Amino acid sequence: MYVAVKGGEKAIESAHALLAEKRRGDPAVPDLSLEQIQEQLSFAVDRVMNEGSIYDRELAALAIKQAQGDLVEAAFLLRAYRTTLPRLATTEPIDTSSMTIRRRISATFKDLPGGQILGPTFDYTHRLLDFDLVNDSGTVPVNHANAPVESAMSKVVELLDREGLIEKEPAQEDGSMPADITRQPLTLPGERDVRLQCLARADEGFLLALGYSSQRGFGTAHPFVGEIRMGETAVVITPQELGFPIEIGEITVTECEMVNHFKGSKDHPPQFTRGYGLTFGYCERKAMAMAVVDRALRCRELDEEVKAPAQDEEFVLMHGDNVEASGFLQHLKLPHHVDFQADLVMVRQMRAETAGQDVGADSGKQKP
Amino acid sequence: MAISSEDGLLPGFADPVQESTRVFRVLMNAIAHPGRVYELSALPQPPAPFYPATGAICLTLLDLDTPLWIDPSGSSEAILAYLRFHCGSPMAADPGEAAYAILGDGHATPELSRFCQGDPSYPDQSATVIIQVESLSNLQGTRLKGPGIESEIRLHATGINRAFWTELKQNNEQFPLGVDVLLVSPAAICGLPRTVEVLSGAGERTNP
Amino acid sequence: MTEFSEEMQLRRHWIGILARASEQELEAAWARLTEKPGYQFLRAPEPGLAMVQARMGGTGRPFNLGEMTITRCTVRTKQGSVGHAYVAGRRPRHAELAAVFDALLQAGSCRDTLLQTLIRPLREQEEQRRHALGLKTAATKVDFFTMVRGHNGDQL
Repeated sequence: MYVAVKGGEKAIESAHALLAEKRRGDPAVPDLSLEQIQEQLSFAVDRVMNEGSIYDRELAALAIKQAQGDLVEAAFLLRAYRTTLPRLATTEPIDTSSMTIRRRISATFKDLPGGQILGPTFDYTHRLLDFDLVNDSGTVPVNHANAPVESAMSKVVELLDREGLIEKEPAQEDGSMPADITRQPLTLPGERDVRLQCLARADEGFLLALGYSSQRGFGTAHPFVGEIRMGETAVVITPQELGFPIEIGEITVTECEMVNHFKGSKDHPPQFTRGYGLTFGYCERKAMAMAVVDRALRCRELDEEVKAPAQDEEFVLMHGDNVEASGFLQHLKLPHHVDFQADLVMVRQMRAETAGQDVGADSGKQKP
Repeated sequence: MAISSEDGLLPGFADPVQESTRVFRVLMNAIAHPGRVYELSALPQPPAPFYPATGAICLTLLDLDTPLWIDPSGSSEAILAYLRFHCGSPMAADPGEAAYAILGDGHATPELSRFCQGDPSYPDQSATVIIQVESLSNLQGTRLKGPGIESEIRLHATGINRAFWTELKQNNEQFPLGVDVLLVSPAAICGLPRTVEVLSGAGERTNP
Repeated sequence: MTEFSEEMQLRRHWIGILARASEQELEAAWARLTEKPGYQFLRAPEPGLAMVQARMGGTGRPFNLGEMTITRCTVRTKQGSVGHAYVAGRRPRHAELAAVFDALLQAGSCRDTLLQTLIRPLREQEEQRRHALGLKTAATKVDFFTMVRGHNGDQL
């Protein structure tokens, strides 16, 4: 129960002014520009786009600036801003197989058509803090090959699919639209479209921990990275007034296909099973975690026993949204004076009763 | 900014934010004060057979998420093109799938029961039925009472089917389920949500 | 798979080019136009969202990934040609220019000129950018070599 309190407007105004002063910091230091955030803190921007659930780098950069680097707060700002924009279209499903590849690796096959393309990755850095970055690093020299990467590289899962080794993704049967948890409330059990939409918006840390727990023995056995790709894909919509599909631009996405231990039944021979992760921007860790958790949550459709938190649909889907989680956690700061007063009275009363009983027992003893 | 209608694309609101807010406020008041006739002026002209007020309601309330059903008397190629362009709302194949329904001619039997009545968990997901009539007046007519009406109000609609008030009574008896109705004349609207109690029958003229 | 007429293919082609171009490129092209047409908004540039769909496993049933900002605009030139634009991001001026060029490209008289002076150069610039990026990316391709001469690599 919340207590309505009045007054405090002046204090709140002052708090906001202090917050703004803190945001600006030392006035002698140059103000942070949105371009700097977009260009030089791109992973923060990507994360906020995913968890705020809007692909717009400038908006994400603004949110990060306003939230002073608190990325969960920034995601909250984007979610709120979403509500002021009308939905004008739904895109055609993006085609990741025709992605303009900037990174593409596979842990299941060394030599694959198109090759292992590292792209701009942290993977091989030694994680030594680089003090050269204290000052402006200036223009960074880059290497160029003689020929560009192949366009349209085939997917690793296609290679496995040729021998029927990997389960097929069921194709669209009835042309119905996928569920949309931003329009209809989440109800459980959720089908895979609901689960993937939830996972795409979920907190990266939460998914990371769940993925890790899954690997450590709670849930599915050792998954393999079938393929990770990062790059740009075209976005296509069919406006009603045109009646034909048009391209409106490109977005950067990271896709991860996890290949998991094979499973067979009396009807089906053993096949590798799949987990799928997809994120806006270059969010590889999250795409991988999402793929591991996606696979874990498919336990129901794959007849696997639910033994672990990562397989527990309610646990995963209800707690993954960090805006919701933060809201409920931080609501504890709202005045709960009356509730607490009630508790205080009860505790004192119970203590008094206990003390009274002790006195009674003593006096009983003292009786001659 | 006079724009010719040669290609069927008549303009919508000149200032979408201001005008849709204005129209929305009128609709909100109409539902909050059932039976009261609200005038709506300075509206863009939609293609026939829509009234300006009907067009304004569509421009304000319809979007990608609101399936729309229009009966034959209310529909035309030009209307469909107009709504496709300005609202983008999907056209419901079935009256039962519509979030909004438009009946172009109030003389036809409304058949309110063919529209989505909502469900016990989400009664608000029922349809809103918009009926074009010839005129609306509070000076006489059917007596109405209920939430939002101070004691009683009279509503007289011309160009409306004889069965309308009976159907409305039956609809409102299903509260909290049932549809909500908006009656629209060329430049006025009147809200009849399912909370309304219809006291007298169709077409009765009682002395004020 | 829908069959598109040649006319429609061409229109889809230039719409895509105009959407992918930068606002500066379109603004420069507009400035270069010696005869700028008068036009009115049938729909002034409107920002909004598009829900991006993806496929499970890249090839399966669709799911909703998240929304992206887009801007749309529709204009009618004084000559009566109607142009539409839908572009990614919150870009009112970009959407306006793309719609105007779409209107001009549909009209008979300017089409060939604009295809030559606007669309083709934009496409070439796009290709150059893609090519340059491709060279940098390709430099990160791992060139495996093995110690034993004659090894053919892994069996797939």
